[in-house]
Amino acid sequence: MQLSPGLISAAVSFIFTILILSYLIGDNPLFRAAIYVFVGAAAGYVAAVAWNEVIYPALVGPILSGSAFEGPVQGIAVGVPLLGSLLLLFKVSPRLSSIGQLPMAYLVGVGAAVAIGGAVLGTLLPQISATFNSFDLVSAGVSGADTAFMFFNGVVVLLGVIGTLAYFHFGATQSDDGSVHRNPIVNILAWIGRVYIAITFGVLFAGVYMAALTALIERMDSIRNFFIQLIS
Amino acid sequence: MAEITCPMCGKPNPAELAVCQYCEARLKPLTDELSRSQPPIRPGEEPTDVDTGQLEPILPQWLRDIRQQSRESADEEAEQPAAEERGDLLAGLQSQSESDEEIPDWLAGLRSEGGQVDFEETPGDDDDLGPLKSMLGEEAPLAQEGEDSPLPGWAADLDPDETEPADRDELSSYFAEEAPGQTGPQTPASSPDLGWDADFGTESVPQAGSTEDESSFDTELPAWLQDAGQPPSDEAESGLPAWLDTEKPASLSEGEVTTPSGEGGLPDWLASLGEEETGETAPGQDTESAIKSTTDWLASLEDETTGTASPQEPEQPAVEGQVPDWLSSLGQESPEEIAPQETEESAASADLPDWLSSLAEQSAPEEELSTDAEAVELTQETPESEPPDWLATLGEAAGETETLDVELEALTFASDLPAEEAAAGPTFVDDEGQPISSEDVDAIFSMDMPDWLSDAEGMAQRDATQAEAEAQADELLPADLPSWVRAMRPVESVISETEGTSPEDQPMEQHGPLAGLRGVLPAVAGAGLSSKPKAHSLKLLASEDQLSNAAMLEKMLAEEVTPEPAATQKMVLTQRILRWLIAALLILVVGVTVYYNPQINPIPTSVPLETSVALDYIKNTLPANAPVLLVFDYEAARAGELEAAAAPLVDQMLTLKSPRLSLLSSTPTGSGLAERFMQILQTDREYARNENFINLGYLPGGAAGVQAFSKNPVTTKQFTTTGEGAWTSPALQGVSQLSDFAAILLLTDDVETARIWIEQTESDRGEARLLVVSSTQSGPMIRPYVRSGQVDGMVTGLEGSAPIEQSNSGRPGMARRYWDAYGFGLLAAVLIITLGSLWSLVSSFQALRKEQGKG
Repeated sequence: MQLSPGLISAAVSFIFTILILSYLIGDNPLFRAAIYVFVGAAAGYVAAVAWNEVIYPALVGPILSGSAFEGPVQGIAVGVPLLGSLLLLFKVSPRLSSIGQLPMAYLVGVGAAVAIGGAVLGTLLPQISATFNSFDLVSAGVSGADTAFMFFNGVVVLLGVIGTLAYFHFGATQSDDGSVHRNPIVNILAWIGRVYIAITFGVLFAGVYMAALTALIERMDSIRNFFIQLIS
Repeated sequence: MAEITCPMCGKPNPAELAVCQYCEARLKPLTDELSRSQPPIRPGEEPTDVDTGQLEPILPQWLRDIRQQSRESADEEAEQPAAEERGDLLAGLQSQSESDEEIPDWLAGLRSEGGQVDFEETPGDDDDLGPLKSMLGEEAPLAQEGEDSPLPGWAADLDPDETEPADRDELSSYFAEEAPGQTGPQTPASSPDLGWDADFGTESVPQAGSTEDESSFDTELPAWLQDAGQPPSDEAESGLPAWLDTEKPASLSEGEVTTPSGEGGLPDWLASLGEEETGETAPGQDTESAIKSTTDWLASLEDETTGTASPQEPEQPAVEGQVPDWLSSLGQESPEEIAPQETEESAASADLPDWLSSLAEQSAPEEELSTDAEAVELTQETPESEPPDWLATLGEAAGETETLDVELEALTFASDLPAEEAAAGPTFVDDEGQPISSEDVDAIFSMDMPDWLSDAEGMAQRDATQAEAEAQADELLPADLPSWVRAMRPVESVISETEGTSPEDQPMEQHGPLAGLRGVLPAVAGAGLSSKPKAHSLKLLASEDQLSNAAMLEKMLAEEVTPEPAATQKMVLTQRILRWLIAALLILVVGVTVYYNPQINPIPTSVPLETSVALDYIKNTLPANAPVLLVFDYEAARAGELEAAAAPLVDQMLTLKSPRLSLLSSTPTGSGLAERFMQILQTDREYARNENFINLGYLPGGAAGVQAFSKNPVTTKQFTTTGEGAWTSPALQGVSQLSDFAAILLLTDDVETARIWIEQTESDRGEARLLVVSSTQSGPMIRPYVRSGQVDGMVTGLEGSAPIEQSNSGRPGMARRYWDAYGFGLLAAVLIITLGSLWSLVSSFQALRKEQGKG
């Protein structure tokens, strides 16, 4: 029998699949060994990818080839990342970690600005607009959609949005006898929102299960292919 | 029954107990009896004789040593005539005088036996306390001569009622002893260091009568000075203070002064005095600096006496403060009574230390000391010696008399003088000769004097009354505690004494809100009880409600820390078996289905709206050979699902439109997954790298990286995974920005990753369509973006890709191969969940019935 790369890959895949499935009997060395191999392989792979696809082409390559010194733009494009990288290396030492605060502050600041801007402009406002557009019966009529269904759909969406927001509203008023009561309307909307949230979690759970089931099926298919290759 | 509360444990004890019966703590202080018997010393009171034997343990070691030594030498002292009782302070000094090796220097001088002043030793000895020691050393013989008195010898001698003549002052006797001029034949006569006292006698300048002032001054003088001014008697040595009285038998004429080395036993105040004396007598030392170190009270006295000095102009300027006042006064008072007399022992005095030689001259024959006619001839000018300045000043004040006979009584105070002489003039006058007031005189003597000097007269009187009664008592009869010893007592004893006094004895408050009350404030600031405070009960006075609330709170807190009972082994085993059963069921169902691939589960023909939109775009709208960006942002664990979900769509796209694919990933593992995905698509297709597709690899930076790539993809990602220039390859021809791509197909299993790409590329996509292939778990969260129009189409999981694959002629076939297992797996899950829910429901009903049956 000739060991082809495919067969070897299939065999390794089969072995590690069995090792991972051994977790059914509880935490055991076989499972931990497989986990360690996966973690190590992933880390090594990530490091290799970072070097091959980021560090060398963007930092080391221009310096070695001299392209980083062709002009100020190229110099800045290489010098600033290099300086930031060197400063970040000081984070290794607890005593000198403060030196790496500057690039860290830059990264955090940029990341926060990008995330907030994207969330407001890319999610919040468009989603609010989409909620309003659910009642755009004119457009629905022009496109030939069922306006009644569109209206119902819009009501369901709006009720779900308001109900979910009301559920996370914890404001209340204090009555004369000292007891604290939620506003009745808010209380009803919160109850509706709780129903929506429950349905959402149910859907997410179903999606997780179906994703896991698909992964299991893929693994079973892989094992089947391995045996087919092994037999053939 | 009286009880005493224990200060330690707070429990009551019978009054007769001295130690707590519970904690064995002492209930009564050790000094309690003494403190009751002895009222506290108050300002202005003299200490009384008390039995201090009980206090011996708390005495300083050196005092106890003295006492012990005195006891040991009791027999020897008994043999000595007229053994003198001493106070506790000086008890044992006599016995110590027996041995030079055991006594300190300052006590060595107290010896009277063979009290020869050895002046030879004085200059050469580093202990220059010789003069003082010699003075003190004469006490012993006097003590032997004195009566048995509980008082210190010097105090007893001060007693005017003594049978011994008390009318001789200590200095007169001192000078009388020195007068014979027998001192120091061994002392070099030419010693310049000892010639400073050659002029000592010259200070006794005849002075106008001042007996009246002196009489008035006598009442204000310190006791010892007043006693010194008592009329002299023939037995002057017994009437002097012991430490001065002993000067007489010191046998100065023999010229020997015992100067034992070492000052180990010397009290500080005497040691300092000795140091001062040393400075005065040490050869070659500056006498001015030494004299300046004399005590203030002496200096002030010297000032006064200088003012009363002879009207003659002194040849040398007076150096104030350099002369001990008592010496200066000696030379200036009673000048009239100083009979001029040629000295006969000038040569002899030159052999002595000057000041001692002058003293010797003053002391003269002992017979001359007893009356006014007795005088000491002092030599002022001694060529061989250079007097210190302060004595030179004295000499000048004495009117530059070369030799003066100093009448001893003139050296005393007005009380020693006849009334006529006392009325002749004031004792103290100012520089202009005007008499100073009694207040000024008070100011002169308003210095801190040692206790033993502060009230010597009163002590002498009291001791005299007790002398007879205690004559037969032990020579170490307990005397009254000196005030400094009392000050060392524990504070508790003082407080107990204060508490023991009656309210009438307490001072009345004169001011403030406490005016009119007695004994409400301690007499001494800061004197508070230092004992343990009284114990108080910690039991709270709480109502029933408070106790119930406290119990409730306590119960709640106890429940918080109470661990929950561990699950029984039976329960754990059941759960494990149930888990194994479920796993086995799913593996069996899926495995068998996959292995046999029956294809009995039909694929639905209808697809979701977003999937149909995506499929319609690929079939109808996507231009042929258009650049398409494929983003692989999922983890390897989800590769099976994502590959099965995306493969039909991409395969159909490649089949229909042959787009130029650009592979990109914002996760490090994405580039590898992209290569794997392309291998699936190229099983039966020629799709060349860099020609038809290009792998741009990993895009770092997360959201910032995505935004950067959206803004400027050329500079953000310049190279492919193989290190080649990306944007010059045929796959990216005509693409310089994100909107140049015809479509962006995002393969993701994470909502956050999808949201980043949706948010960051929305403004830069232009006409490019954004299609999403998502995992089943993230599909519901991405769907709102589809409904809002931010995502043009979406394929979710296997149920979305199966219809596409079916419409794509079953290519690549993954969905179909998985579909049966997928369906049976879902069915198995539904059955498991249903059975589990029924089991839980039945169990609940059974538990409810049991509870109802019990009820």
